[in-house]
Amino acid sequence: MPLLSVKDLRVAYTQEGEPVRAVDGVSFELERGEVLALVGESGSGKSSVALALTRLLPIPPATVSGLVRFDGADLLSMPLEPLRAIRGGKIAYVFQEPATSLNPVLTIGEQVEETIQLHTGARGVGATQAAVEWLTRVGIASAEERLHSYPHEFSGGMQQRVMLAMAMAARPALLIADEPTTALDVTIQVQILRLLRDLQRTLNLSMLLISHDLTVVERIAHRVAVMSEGAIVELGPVAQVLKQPAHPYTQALLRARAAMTLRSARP
Amino acid sequence: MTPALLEAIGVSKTFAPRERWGGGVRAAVAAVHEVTLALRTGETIGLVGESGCGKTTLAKLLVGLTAPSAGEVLMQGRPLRRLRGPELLKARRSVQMIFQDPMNSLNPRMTVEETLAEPLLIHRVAGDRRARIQALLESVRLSAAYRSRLPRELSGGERQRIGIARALAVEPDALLCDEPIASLDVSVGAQIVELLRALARERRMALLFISHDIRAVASLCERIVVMRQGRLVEDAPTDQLLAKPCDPYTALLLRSAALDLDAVPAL
Repeated sequence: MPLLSVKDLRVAYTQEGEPVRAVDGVSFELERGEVLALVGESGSGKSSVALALTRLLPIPPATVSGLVRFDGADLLSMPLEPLRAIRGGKIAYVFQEPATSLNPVLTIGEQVEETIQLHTGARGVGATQAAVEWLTRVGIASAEERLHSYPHEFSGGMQQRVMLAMAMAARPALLIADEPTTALDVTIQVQILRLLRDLQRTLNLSMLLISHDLTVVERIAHRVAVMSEGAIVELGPVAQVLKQPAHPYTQALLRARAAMTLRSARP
Repeated sequence: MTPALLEAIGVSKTFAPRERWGGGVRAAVAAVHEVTLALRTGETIGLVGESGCGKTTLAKLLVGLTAPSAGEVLMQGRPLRRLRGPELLKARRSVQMIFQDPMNSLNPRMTVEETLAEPLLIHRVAGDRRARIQALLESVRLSAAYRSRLPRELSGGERQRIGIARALAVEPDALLCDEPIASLDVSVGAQIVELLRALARERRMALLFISHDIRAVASLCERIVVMRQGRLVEDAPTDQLLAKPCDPYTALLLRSAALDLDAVPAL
C-alpha cells in the first residue's frame, strides 16, 4: 500500500467574487522511500497541493475536496487534534523562504527543541542533545554554541539547514519540500540539495519535492508530475518524462531549460 | 580606437560605518572594490556573481545612480560626474537600464502608453508619438491592444517587456539589465533572454547583463565577468571561461550551476 494516496484533490479560492480552481482534480500515489517531484510554473497549483494535503490552507476562503490517505489515515476528514500530531510530525514541511519560516525572536535551540518536544516527547537535556545531533547532522558547525544564536545571525543556507534539522528531528515518514533551494545562491543550492538527497536515501524518506527547476528534479526525484493550470498533465519516471515528454507543456519546459544549458561546461 | 560606451576605471564604492540597532558599529563595507570594466559598441557582457557581491551597486555606479567613493566612470570617454544639464541628459539617454522586478519599476497608475510616452517627453524625442509607441510595442513583440493596460493587468513577462520597450524608447547604445529574469518563470525568462538577444543584434545595442545565473549569462553573452565580494575575479570570452575557468571561484560557480551533487562533499 502506498504511504500517500491522493484522489481527485480539488482546491478552489474566491477572487473578486469569481471562483478560481487552483487544483482541479489531482491524483497521485507516493510509495515509502520514493521521491515524487511536482513541477510547473507559478500559479500552476503545486503549492496549493502541498498545503491542502494536511489542511494547512485556511478553509474558508479555500474549499478543499477529494481524498487524501496517509499511512491509513484520511487526512481531509479526520479530527483536527490527531491531524496536528501528523503535521510537522509524520509529515514535515520545508519551505522556500527559511527566514520567514523561522521565528525571529526565538533562538535556534529553542525552535529545534520545541519540535523535538512536540513530536518525540523528549524533554530537557534529552531534547537539547537531540537538537545538537540534528543540527550537526545537517552541517551546522559547533552546533552546541549555535543553539543560542538567533535566526538573523545565520545565512540563508544555514537557516535552511536549521529548517531541515527541525523537519527531520520529528522523524517524519514524508517530507514535503516546497522550492527548498529557490531562494538560495547557486553554490549553496547544490549543498542543500546534496544534503536533502543524502537524508532521503539514508532514512528511506518519502518526499514530495516541489520545484520549477527540471535539473533539481532530475537530481533528486524518482518520478515527476508536471502540473499546469491546476491539473497534472504528465506523470512518470523522471528519466522517461525528460527524455520523451508527451505533453506540449513539458516540452516547452524542456526547451526553456535547453536554451540555458552550459554546453561547454558539460563534461 | 573610439572610446567605450561605458567604462569604469578603478571604481570603488564604500558604505560608511553605521551604528547598529541595539549597540555596536557595523564596519565600513566595500561593496565595489577597484573595478575596471569597459562596454563597447555592440558588445554583450554578462556580469555574474552571488547575492551581496556588489553587482547591483556596480550597475548603479555605471549609470550614475550612485557616486563612486573612488575611481571614475566614463560615458563615451567623458567623466560622468562632470556632466551637467543637456550633456548629462544625452549621456543618460545613451545608456538605459531594466530591473529585476518589473512591477516595482513601473508606475502602477500609468498605462503602458503613458509609461512609454514619458521617456519620449523627457528626452524630447521628435516624431509622431503614437506611431513610435506602436513601434516600441512591436519591437518587444506585444500587440497594440496593450496600450491601455495598467501594470497590474500584465503578467510578469509582459511587464518586463514594457520595461524593455521603455528603455528602447530613447534608442540607447547600451542596455544595462539588472537580474531581468530572476523574478520570472523559467520558460518566460528564456523568452526574455531570446528577446534581448534579438534586440541587441537588430539594433547593434550593447548589453551588460547582470545575473546570479551563469547559465542565463552564458547563453546570451559573448564575454563573462565574474564578481565576488566587490571585486572582479575573472573576465574572459564565454567559451574560454566555460571550458577553462582560471579563478577557483568561477570553477565553483560552474560546478554548482551544473548541480553535480556528487561533486559536493557529503557530511
